[in-house]
Amino acid sequence: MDRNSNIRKGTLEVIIMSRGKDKEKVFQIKWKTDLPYRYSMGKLSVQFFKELKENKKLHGSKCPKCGKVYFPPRAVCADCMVEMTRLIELYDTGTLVGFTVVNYPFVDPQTGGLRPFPYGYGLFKLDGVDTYTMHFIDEVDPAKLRVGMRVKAVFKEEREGNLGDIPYYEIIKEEPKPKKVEKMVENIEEKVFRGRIKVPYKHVAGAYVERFITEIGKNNKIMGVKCPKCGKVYVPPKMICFNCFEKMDEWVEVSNQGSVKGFTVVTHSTPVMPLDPPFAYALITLDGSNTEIVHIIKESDPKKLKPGMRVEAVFKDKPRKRITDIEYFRPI
Amino acid sequence: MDKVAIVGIAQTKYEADKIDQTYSELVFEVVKKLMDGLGITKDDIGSVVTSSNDFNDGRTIADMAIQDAVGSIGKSESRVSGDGAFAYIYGAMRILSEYYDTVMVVSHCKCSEGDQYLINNSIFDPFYQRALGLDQISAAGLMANMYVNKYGITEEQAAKVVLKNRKNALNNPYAHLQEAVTIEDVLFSPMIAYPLKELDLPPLSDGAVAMLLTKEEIAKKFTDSPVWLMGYGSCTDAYYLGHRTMTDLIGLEYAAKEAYKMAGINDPIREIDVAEVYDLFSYHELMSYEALGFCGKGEGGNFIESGETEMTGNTPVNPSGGVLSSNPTMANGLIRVAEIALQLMGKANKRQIPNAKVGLANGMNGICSQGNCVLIFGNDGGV
Amino acid sequence: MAKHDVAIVGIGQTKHRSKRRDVNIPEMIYEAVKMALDDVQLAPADIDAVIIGNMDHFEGINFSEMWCGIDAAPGYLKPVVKVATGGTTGSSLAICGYHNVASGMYNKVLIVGWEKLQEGGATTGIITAFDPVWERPSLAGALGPLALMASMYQHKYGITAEQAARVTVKNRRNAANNPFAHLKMPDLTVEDVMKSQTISHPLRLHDCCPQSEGACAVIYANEEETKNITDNPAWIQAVETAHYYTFGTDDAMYNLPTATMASKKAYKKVGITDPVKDLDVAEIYEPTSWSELAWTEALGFCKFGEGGKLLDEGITQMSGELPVNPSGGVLSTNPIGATALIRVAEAAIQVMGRGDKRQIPDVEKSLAMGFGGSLWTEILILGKEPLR
Repeated sequence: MDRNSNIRKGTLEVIIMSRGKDKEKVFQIKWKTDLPYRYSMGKLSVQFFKELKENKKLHGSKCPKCGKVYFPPRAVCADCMVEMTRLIELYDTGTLVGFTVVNYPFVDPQTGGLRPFPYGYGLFKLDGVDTYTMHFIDEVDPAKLRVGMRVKAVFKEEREGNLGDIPYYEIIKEEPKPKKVEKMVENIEEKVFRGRIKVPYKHVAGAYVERFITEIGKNNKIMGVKCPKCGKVYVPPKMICFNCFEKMDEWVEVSNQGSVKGFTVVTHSTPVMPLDPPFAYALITLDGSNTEIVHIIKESDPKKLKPGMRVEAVFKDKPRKRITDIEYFRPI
Repeated sequence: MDKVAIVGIAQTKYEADKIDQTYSELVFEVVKKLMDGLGITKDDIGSVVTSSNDFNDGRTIADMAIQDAVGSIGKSESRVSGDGAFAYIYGAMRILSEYYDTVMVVSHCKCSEGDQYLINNSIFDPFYQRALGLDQISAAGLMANMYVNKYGITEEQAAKVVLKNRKNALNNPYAHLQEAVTIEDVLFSPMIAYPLKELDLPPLSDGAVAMLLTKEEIAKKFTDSPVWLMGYGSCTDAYYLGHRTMTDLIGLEYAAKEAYKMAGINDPIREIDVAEVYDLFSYHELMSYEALGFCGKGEGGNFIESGETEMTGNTPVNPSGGVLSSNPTMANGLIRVAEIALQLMGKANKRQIPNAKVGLANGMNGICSQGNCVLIFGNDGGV
Repeated sequence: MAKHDVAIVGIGQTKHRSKRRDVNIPEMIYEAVKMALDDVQLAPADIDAVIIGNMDHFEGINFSEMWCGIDAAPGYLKPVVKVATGGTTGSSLAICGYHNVASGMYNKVLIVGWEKLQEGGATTGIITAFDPVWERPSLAGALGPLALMASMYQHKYGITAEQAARVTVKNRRNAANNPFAHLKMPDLTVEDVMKSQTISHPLRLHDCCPQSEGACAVIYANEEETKNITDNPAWIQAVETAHYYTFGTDDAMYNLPTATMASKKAYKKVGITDPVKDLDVAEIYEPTSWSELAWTEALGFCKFGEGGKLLDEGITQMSGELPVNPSGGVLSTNPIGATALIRVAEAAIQVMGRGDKRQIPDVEKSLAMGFGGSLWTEILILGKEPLR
């Protein structure tokens, strides 16, 4: 079964993704999230994957009190609130209890890209286990699948010690069951699962953000809005004055220059910083605004910065529809 | 006010990397400790309120990972996505509404599994702030510097907070950082976000905390020294950094005023015997003294120099070592509550403040005290 | 402070759509909030606390309540808290609000549920809700497990695809009476559903709920405040939740045991012995058409296996003895963080008699259901009188 073919982008995606009527261009701010995680797997899972990689064997955990056998193995029996510390070897066969064929496109958060489809997906009861489990099956024609069919785990030749070592379960004819063996957990090195939450977000900007970002990009103009009730000018602009809870409709142009209200100089480096540290973050009151804008001052020496000093916006040559189209502020 | 009691508490040791525990195992550790300590089973627990954060855990619906560990089968478990102190008050409300007799509140957090900079950067909105690369530390630097510029607080005064809390942590077997520091250590540590140096900032920790709340009528079945809720207040400052009041913690101030009113407290430093405040960074504790009304505006530096907040002072602050010693971010607020409860139960061992009858704990959500929850507790002698 | 009675007094919703191109997140939420405040002519300052929720990874914003509670709701200098439990977020918000008022801590509380799904993608977000080591590699969002549940349900009871299709026809035709619903299809036929593409066997496109963007806001008040606000509130009589194991597959849950557990507790509290007779309308959380059939059984509306029969006998139609989802249900509108709250809002609208074209006559008691997570259920029962 070749699940890597068949990525269809045609009619199906259109139906699901755009149930709205028109498809005119909408002003969006994009943000590609890529959060790395080091998920602790726990001793039982670590031992499970070691046995899977080295011996092509499946294991579950068994509650010492009620005897329930769980797959996947986990540390707590929820019924008894008792810790499970022993793995029990399982058969690699089971029975199909439910099935489907996934036939729609979606982004896999682990990779940030589309997962290949269609693919068969089944719910099985592995022999000797009291819980159910879901995994891939090697059949994409639902007419060929039936509840009650027998399935067997297929193991990759080259295994890495993760769930991908079982690419899918295959449909088989009945097989005699081998003998069960109980195994104690041994002391082995701790391990983690390196996962990601990788999602390309597209945030609709709305009229206020759109105008602000467009004006700084196209015309190097900084705009704000004024609250009809309290008269405060907000830069950058937004729809609601949070103090009065009123909609703000009056647009005001403010100066590109202003005074520093407060600042800090950062030295730590992170993947999302627009400049290489050290540089300063500051709250700046632009002339004509009543609120401060938070932004960057390209200055690395805190002794050269002080509240009240005057700064001026420096605009990016090639605007990219972001707040950083004001690249930074510089002292004047 | 109807009464709701804390009758039992359990904490894990806070440390940098609990690599061999899944969230389920981490939470089960405290839940089991709590149940065994009280001699109860999951059937004695009417409902569960948990606190966790999806970005931190790398899992949407982060409480799904701990269902087995908190014994949710057939039961009501709900989750506050935020600091544990807010989960405490929600648990208390479930008892005060007379819907449940017992509620277990659990908060867990592992800073070791994710990238804290990216996780905190995600708190900022994608339109005007996130692309600047802001995170909790840069916002803390901004706040600290503006506080210093307004009131003239010195770095030595801020360093005294670190000294005090790190020394206090030596008495707390659960605390993550178990090493005292000197003023020089703090002043000469590397500059991270001016004026904050490395030791002005907290560590990153893993850990969990759980407690059992009960209604008044059955509290004495579980413990001889129940801890009663006397006051509560909650308040949220503005969101965009340019709209925040950066020189004073106004959210904390308003929340404290509400809590004092409910508890009937008119003179905080005389009536409160011990406080566990959320010291996100050194200057933050000084700002908290002012916001909580322990001293006047701008007097935070003088106040710590007076020794009032030392273990031997009149209003000891953070005998546990505070966040500067243990920082499992989402659990911090509930840890503050747990530590005050231990104080009022007389079970704080080496960090016990003698005769503590009334205590204050506070929790924080968002960036640098945007969201605040202040809780006042009293034991039988204090209410 | 003794226990207080809690009423829903004001309601606001956006017109739910697949993609709101005209507003950003706080602007969208503001529409619902403003509508709720105007509904009861309360000023923003009159709200004591804001409880707001969505699913973080769907829009990629951490502590979203710190932003939206201030810029879209009257949360400035007030308590703002987020409760987020996946699909049950809306009902968890509703239940949290209930305890906030019933405990006496607050008198008037604003509850907001929202989601702007297209900014990230629901399936991708849902995958991140599951175990990264064991479940995510093969999981296809919520539709995969829901398809498996339908497959098992079909096998066990012989329910047909046509019976399931009739659920979609009922709900999307009902939606045509609901000005806020996303998919209004007054002319949908069983044939249309059967001809639609198979998304995940046996689920066809029209067996599945849409991905919507929208917000719902509800205002609660205690018995004293309600007197000053409205003479037509909907009183919350019971709030029950049932959770289950961590892994959604630990039990074969096509018959949703948590729905049976939660509804039994709720019925007992309110004194309901025969839900079909004692309830006048139900807003249940049906992510697929098959789910509605299975869950009417789990909720005790009929015997196990007879969900199809219940529908075919017309009991759950608008004109039946216990209409289910006159609003169009989740099959018509699904902004996930708001969906369960919309069930509560719609159940309240029915009790208040404000349902216009979707109003069921003479509603005294209604049921609202939330569903999500590793197959959890939350039940709220609303009535014309507080429970005494």
